[in-house]
Amino acid sequence: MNRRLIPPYVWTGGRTRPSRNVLDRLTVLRAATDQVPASLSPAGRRVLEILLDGALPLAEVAAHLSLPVSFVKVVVSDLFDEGWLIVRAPTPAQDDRMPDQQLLERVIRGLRALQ
Amino acid sequence: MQIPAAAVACLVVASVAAVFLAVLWPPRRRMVVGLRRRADTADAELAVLRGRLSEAERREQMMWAEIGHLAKTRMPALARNSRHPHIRVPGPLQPELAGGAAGATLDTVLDQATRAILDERARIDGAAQSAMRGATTKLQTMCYQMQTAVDELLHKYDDPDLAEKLAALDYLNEQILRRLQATRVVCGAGAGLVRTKTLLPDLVLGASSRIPSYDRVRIDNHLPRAVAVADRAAESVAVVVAELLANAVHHSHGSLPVEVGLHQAHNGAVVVVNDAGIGMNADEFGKARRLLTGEAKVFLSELGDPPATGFAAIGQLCKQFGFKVSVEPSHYAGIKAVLFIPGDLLHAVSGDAPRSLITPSPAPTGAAPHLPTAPVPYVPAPPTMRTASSQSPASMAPLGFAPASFGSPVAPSAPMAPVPPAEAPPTAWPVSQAPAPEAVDDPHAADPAAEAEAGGTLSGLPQRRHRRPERSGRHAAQSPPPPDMYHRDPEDAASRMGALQRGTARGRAEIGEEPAATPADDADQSERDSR
Repeated sequence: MNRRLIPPYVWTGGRTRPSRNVLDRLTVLRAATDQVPASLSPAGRRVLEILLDGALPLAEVAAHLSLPVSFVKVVVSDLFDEGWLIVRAPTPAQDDRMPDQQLLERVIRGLRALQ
Repeated sequence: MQIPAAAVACLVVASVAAVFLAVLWPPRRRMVVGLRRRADTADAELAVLRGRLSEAERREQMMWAEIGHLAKTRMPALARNSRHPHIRVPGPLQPELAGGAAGATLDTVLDQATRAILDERARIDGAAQSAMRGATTKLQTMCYQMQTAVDELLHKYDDPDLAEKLAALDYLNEQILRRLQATRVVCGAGAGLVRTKTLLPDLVLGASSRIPSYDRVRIDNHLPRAVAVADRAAESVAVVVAELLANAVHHSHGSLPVEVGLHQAHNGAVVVVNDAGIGMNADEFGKARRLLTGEAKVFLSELGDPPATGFAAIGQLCKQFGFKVSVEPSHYAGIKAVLFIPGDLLHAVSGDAPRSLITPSPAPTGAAPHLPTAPVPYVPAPPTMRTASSQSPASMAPLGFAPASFGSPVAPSAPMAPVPPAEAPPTAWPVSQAPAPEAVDDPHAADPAAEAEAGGTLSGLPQRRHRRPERSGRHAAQSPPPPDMYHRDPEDAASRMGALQRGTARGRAEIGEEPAATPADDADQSERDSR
């Protein structure tokens, strides 16, 4: 286990309050550009680089960056303000549709294998 | 005729007397002369003795004065000189003593006193240093524990108010850690932390997080390719850069930026820290350069009150690891500090395209900042070796590492290869809320390639294969880009990844290793065509 080198506050310059309050852990993020602009901050570049390969929920972006969600929200809302990101609310769960039974069995098997 | 007889008698007597006198006189005279001569000699000797007596008295007075001078002036000056070398120890009061035996004896006294003072000072300073080493080691451990606790809290709660307070705590903790590390390095210990091989821009960014007003630091990465610092020196480089940055920030105005440039040199890498601060005078430059060599033994008592540990700590690390730090006036009349890291402490990191040269680029890959790749010997001939070593999975496989360019498939023969965090996306998200649930109903779920991929990383847990960041520059470059990245076909990605895995296994089989399962697949052919 390597000790953390870059603390989260560096990525946002110490800010913890996002400029948007619509962001949630499950908000789906998608890049609005094909290539990462050079003018962005390092954190913004990293987020866009991750999203260039496809959309991801905010929580997964945070996991990729090993950053706390509250700091990713700041970075993401900055990117959103500048128009580099498309933000979509999470798809609501469909109550009537049951998850695939085969999939659930695989999940159970995998969880048991983890023990 | 009485008278002549009397006259004759007188004459006779006179003659006899004359003869007698004539016989006896000369010896008497000689005796007198001799006596007189001896008296003269004695007088002369007496005069000499008197002179020597007075000389001896004068010398005695002089010695008394000299000893008093030694006790009252020279010894205190000597004691002060050991603390402040610019204080001159005065010579003997009488110049005639300087060359003689008495002067030499007095000098011996001084020499012995000097030695005793220095030995005692070294002993006391050593005791103080060992006390500081012990204290800082314990404190550093506790600071790391606090860092872990704060980090866990930050990850657990995403309330902005709480995050603000926790970030402030974290920042405070980092600054405490920097001071503790500098102190313990000055006291003869190491940096107190071992990292794995770490990219140089990451180290510089990490170092900037440990100083006050880190937002003034501008990092320009001019390295033509990613360069990592070897594990044994990584934290020490961060400590050195942090101290240079702290100096630069502390001695320049709060509105002025501190510029940091990363450059490649012929046989190493260079970090240049440029500030527009108040600079140093010639004396301070001399002292700084003396400390930066790390040659002289560091005394805590010489570092001022409070001790200025920065340059002394850097000097110790320079001596230990072979860095070189030079300071000179900058173009802004501040200080330009240049840290040179020799090539034997560096690794060229392959696996990703060269980063943009001007903008700060703190990490090499989007998802895995500390991805372990095969160490490549550091040679300064830049661009060709990257492609040679990074794009051939067969050449990487014997080293047991997953190549950086390829995403999730982990080679079957290296199941224990380090899995970077990017390759294990969290599956806490309820499946029913997935934005594209059709991908879950995978008609090819029984496909061996898909099974191998799904079960490769997380021991059988099904993973969503769509929309996973997949850092594959090669595929992006050589296959026509899909019309919409967002709606990329997950099955296509699965078949390509499976084909890649089979190709890797086949390559291993050809070089004599145990062959893995190689089912034929159309995608296999297309994969080979695309190479």
